[in-house]
Amino acid sequence: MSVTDTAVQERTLPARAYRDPEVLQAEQDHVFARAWTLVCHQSHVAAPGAYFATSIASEPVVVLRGDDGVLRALSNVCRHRAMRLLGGTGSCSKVIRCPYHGWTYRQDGQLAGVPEARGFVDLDREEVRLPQFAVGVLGGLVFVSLDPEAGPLETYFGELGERICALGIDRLVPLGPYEATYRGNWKNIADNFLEGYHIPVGHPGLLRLLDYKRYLATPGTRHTWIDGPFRAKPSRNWLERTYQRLVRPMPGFPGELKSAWTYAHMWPSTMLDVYPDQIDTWQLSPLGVDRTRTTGWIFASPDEGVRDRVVRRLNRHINRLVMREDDVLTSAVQDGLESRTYERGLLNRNENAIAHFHGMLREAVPGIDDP
Amino acid sequence: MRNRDGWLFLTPEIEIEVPALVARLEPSRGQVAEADRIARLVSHGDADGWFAYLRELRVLAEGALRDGGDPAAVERLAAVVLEQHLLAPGARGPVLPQDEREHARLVRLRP
Repeated sequence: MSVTDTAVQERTLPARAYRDPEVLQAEQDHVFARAWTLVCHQSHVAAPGAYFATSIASEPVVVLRGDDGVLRALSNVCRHRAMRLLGGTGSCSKVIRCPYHGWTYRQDGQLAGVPEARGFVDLDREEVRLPQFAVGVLGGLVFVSLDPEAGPLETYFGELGERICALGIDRLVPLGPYEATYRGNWKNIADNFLEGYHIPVGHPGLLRLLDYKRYLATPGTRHTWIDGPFRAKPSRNWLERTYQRLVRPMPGFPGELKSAWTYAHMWPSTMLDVYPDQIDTWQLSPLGVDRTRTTGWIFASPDEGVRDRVVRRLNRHINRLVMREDDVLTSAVQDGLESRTYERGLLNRNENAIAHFHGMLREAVPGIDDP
Repeated sequence: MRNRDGWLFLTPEIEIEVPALVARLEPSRGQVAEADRIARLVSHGDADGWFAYLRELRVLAEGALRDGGDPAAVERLAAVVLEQHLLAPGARGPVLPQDEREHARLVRLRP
């Protein structure tokens, strides 16, 4: 996507876009319902009958590996009385049975059996099936799109697709999910992820670890890639210094990323934290204009030893502090976005990825830029 | 945030701009060596060490101006260091070294 109006690019979206329920509904319809959304790791749905249930833009969806080996994304709503069919993750052999009245569907979504079927006057079971959505796997990550016009997953995120495939997430083991709820509009949290301008003030400890002057956000097609190279000098802080000393890349990890913390934003709300010792994904799901749920996964090497586990624990300690700091910041920003006197802000050159993100939102959501 | 790290928010602009300016005003110090020194201060230093370094930069700028050094580089160096003194009162944690004489001398280095 391109942004053509440079006069608008240099400013944020208006504060109203972060607090208006109508904007959130428009985002659900025009952004989340049209994008490719990360659902799970391929290992969750590797075996025949394995499923993973989720919700995309309030639409209940289940990703299911059929006994025929085909991966499908189906509506997770019974056609009878709208009961959610499957919950969480697990295995359903041969059929999906509604837990309410027992309507039973084949793994391809076709209605197979109906208890007391003669009690329905106009039921044509051949015509009843669970709607199917687009599903694809990118570098071991399973994505779903509700929009048949979304285009192929392989090219949806531009050159990021190849980079994700090179990370080797398909060979890693998922840990999680880790869920949390934060106060703040989902875009507020995404904005914070996208820029490094706040690092010196918000996360001064990170300055000892990452070389801020080489911290670089590079926007691309429906994504931003962020390089955070390590400093060469060991940190004064014991925790950081031990991490620097012990960290080593996972087997098969791209060599050019082994001395950095790298981040990626995937349109609209999926984040990747690419550490040499583990890869995290986290997904933002709006729960309201000022509340956001994050669903995170950690991907670790299946062959890790004691040293690797120690390194990941150190990583977690360092990043737990960063997350706490970010939580304080984004919550306080949400307070500010409620202000009667604040309309919108100016963007620094180091906030180029926010300009890119907001440009995509302006293209996708009619009226989002109206004050 | 660890309060004693509050001063670190000052460091980026110095890291980005100062090595080249110092090398222009005092070529014997060398850009790479200066960058290395600043990086060491960021990784291992503290607020006192940082402000001592800022004073050193002010002395360097004054000397360069006196000796006919590049006025644009002097002006820029003074501006970058002055910005540090303008930002420092906002730092969290322990009060950072404040020196009104430093501030005044840096102001005099600007046109």
